[in-house]
Amino acid sequence: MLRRTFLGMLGAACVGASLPAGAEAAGKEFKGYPGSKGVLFDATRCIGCRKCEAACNKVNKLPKPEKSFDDLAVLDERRRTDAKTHTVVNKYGTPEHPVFRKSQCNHCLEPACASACFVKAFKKLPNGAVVYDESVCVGCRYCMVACPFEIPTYEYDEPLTPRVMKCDMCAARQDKGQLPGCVAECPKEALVFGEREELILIARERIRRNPDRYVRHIYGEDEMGGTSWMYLSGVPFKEIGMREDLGTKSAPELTAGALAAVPMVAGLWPVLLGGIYAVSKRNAKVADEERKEAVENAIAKASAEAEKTLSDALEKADVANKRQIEVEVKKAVEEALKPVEEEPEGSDEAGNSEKEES
Amino acid sequence: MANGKKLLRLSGILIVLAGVLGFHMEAMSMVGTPQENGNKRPDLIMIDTIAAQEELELPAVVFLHDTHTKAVAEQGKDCTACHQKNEGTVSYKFMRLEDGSPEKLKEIYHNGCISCHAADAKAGKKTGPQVGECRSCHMADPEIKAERAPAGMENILHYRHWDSKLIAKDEGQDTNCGACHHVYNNLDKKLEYVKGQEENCSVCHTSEPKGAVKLTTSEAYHGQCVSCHLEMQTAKADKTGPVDCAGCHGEMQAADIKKDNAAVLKKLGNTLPRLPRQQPDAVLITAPVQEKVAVKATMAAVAFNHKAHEGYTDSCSSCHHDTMNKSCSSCHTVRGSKDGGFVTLDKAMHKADSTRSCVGCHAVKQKDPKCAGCHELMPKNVIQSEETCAVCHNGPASTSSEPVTMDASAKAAIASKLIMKRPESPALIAEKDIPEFVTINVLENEYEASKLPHRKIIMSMVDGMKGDAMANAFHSTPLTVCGSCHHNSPASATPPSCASCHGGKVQDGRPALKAAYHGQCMTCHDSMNIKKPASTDCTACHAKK
Repeated sequence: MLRRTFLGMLGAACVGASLPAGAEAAGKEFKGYPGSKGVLFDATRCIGCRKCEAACNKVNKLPKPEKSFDDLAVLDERRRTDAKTHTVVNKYGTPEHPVFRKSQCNHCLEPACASACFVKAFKKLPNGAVVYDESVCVGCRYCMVACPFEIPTYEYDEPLTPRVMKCDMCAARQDKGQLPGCVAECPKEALVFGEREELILIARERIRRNPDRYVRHIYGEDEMGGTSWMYLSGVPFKEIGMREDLGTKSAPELTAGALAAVPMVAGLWPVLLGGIYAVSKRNAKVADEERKEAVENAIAKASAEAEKTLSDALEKADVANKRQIEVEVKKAVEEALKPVEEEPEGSDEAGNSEKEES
Repeated sequence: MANGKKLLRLSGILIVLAGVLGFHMEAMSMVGTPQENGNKRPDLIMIDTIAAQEELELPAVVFLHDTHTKAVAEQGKDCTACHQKNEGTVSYKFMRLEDGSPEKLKEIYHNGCISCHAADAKAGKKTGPQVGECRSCHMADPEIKAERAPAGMENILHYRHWDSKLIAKDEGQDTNCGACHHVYNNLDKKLEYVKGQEENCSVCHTSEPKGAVKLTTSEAYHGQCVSCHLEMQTAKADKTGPVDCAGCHGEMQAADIKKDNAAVLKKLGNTLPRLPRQQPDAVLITAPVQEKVAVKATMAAVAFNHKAHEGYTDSCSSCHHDTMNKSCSSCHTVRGSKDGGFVTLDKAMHKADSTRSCVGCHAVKQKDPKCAGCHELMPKNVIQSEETCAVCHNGPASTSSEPVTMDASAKAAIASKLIMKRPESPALIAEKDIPEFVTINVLENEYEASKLPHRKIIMSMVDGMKGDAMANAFHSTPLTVCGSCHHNSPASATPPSCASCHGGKVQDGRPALKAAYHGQCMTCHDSMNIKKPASTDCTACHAKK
């Protein structure tokens, strides 16, 4: 292959590969399935009674905890979800004015766990829940690394069939037309279940009616591209242990560019290296041929020159021979004519006679 | 041998460390010791005068004013050691009356400070940095920071001044307001006192002086207050105000002043005498008179009890935030004007999140735990009903130019009549008509029914309103008190049950019955700081079955 054609093709391939990716990255925004459900948590209403934890434990048939759910002393330490606890309530604020926040899977519209999973064990359902399929999971725990909320947890004490565990918005109960366990049990309606679009309106209305009670922000409306579980609070979200540095792009949106480049890179390396190899091979071949030709030319030239010198030499020799012959002949003739020319001196009789004649 | 090397290295490090620390300590001791609250001092001034004209070559200078005041006093000098006098008031600039060029300023400071330090050093006194020790004054990131408590001139502190026998009375008056208050007379080009036209200092002395005004807010205050306090001090008066920074701006000293203020107030029987400035007792607030603009139908006029409100605020400027010589509506017009920052009259009076508007200030008062139980439950930014407007807007309606064009005294007469009519106690239906107990039994499958001490709750609410004129005026109908719990339905002595709106499920953001009850009871308990029963203690209200 010619180097120029190869480079041309390579350029075309790069442009071709980057075009659709570029077109995709711009202006593609997934704002959730229409009519998908969600939950709105209102920290100004939560009283930290742990009834949601108890309900979650019950409906998911999780093992009983060491300390009963009536024991509110556990709120004094910061807890996180684990394989046997899909939701926890933590206490923040001051002892006089405690603020409680429930934490569980936020059911992102475009989940980081699902985008990190290479066997599609995680799936965002049209009803809003992010669910897990243990039958395909290989236990790599990329989901746990990917989740910005540190939600998926691992059954470390299951030697044979460990699973990744997290809240699934009670997807099974939803199918039966029931509320998620925690929502059904909340005595203060700090949790409201409904269509995500409706929840946003409800949240805005609450902020509008009580501007001094709420921080003017619905956490989860846009964070990480939006989550199905959203939060209202009367104190800055930082103060109830929620990250404010997540931005509004979803995890897949952040990684899609880099990941889309992987097949391109993987596909183009062999082509690129093969091309370079072919070009260098061809160069070597061309160089070889050129050398051969040069050698042949040189040999031809040399032999021609040799012949020429030979023929020149022969010619010269010829001339010399002829001269010698002539000289010898002359000598011989002279020798022969010596007795004749004893009286007058003249060798050129003919000439003389001619002169005399003219 | 190796041990020897180790020792040598260690001791080397130690020596260097000690040297560095010693140097650091020395540098810090020059700056004086910070006060109790760590490294925050009220008297720290960052000198960066040149920054207004050009970029600084070196970081601003850390200057501790009180430390210097003390040192100068110990040497038997007074303020004039550093400050020049200008027509009797001490200029608040260092060694000059006017700022010059950057070069000039640099020279003034360097000569002024360092010459004094050098002289002290010669005399063997403890003193500040010398020539060449640039970074001892020019600190890029000083360890101590300035922290000043606001030295507010609230009404009570103001009273202590205008009541003071030590401050000379004005000519031909029995008041001393002219000692501080002045206006600039454009004709004579000088300051004079006009009785009855006293203003907040900050009306003319803004942070950037405009027009004929020379001094900024803080220059004006320091010039007036400190000069006068100093004069009192030199005249050996029996009482005078602070002359050092910490005296007004120190956290602790400011608290002491507040204590003194409270003591004075207590002596007066908790009511301040009114200012001798002829404020009105009652004002009828109407739409503004605008030339060439006919008065359209506006809201009914509001009678405003000016006399009572004087005692409710710490300072006249809580409402009169710009001037006291104009009515609100001269800047806050119906459509808004440039002078009023395009805040319309309606917003100026009703903006819920402003502390200056009527509604905003009343909303602050509603945060009092006595009131918050009911008022925390009510949505803000929502007009509950027309009756709530009529509580204030009960003056003559303005369908014509009346009463807008009336003169002030006629308006005041109408207003004071309306104020006289205001209730002295909250209206309430007869006690026997209030159900004593209400039984709530919607959770009967899990718990015993709860018995709500309905009458007791209401009576304790009404008790909390005793003596509060605002509460008396606003709880004006017999059923107003009921309206917080029995909301969103027409006022009635027999309101519909909660369950008639709150069903078993959330609807349109309206809570289901359980959450409705819990929301009302717990929010009220929380906002009234009622600790028992705790919200998480189910059996306190719902006895176990």
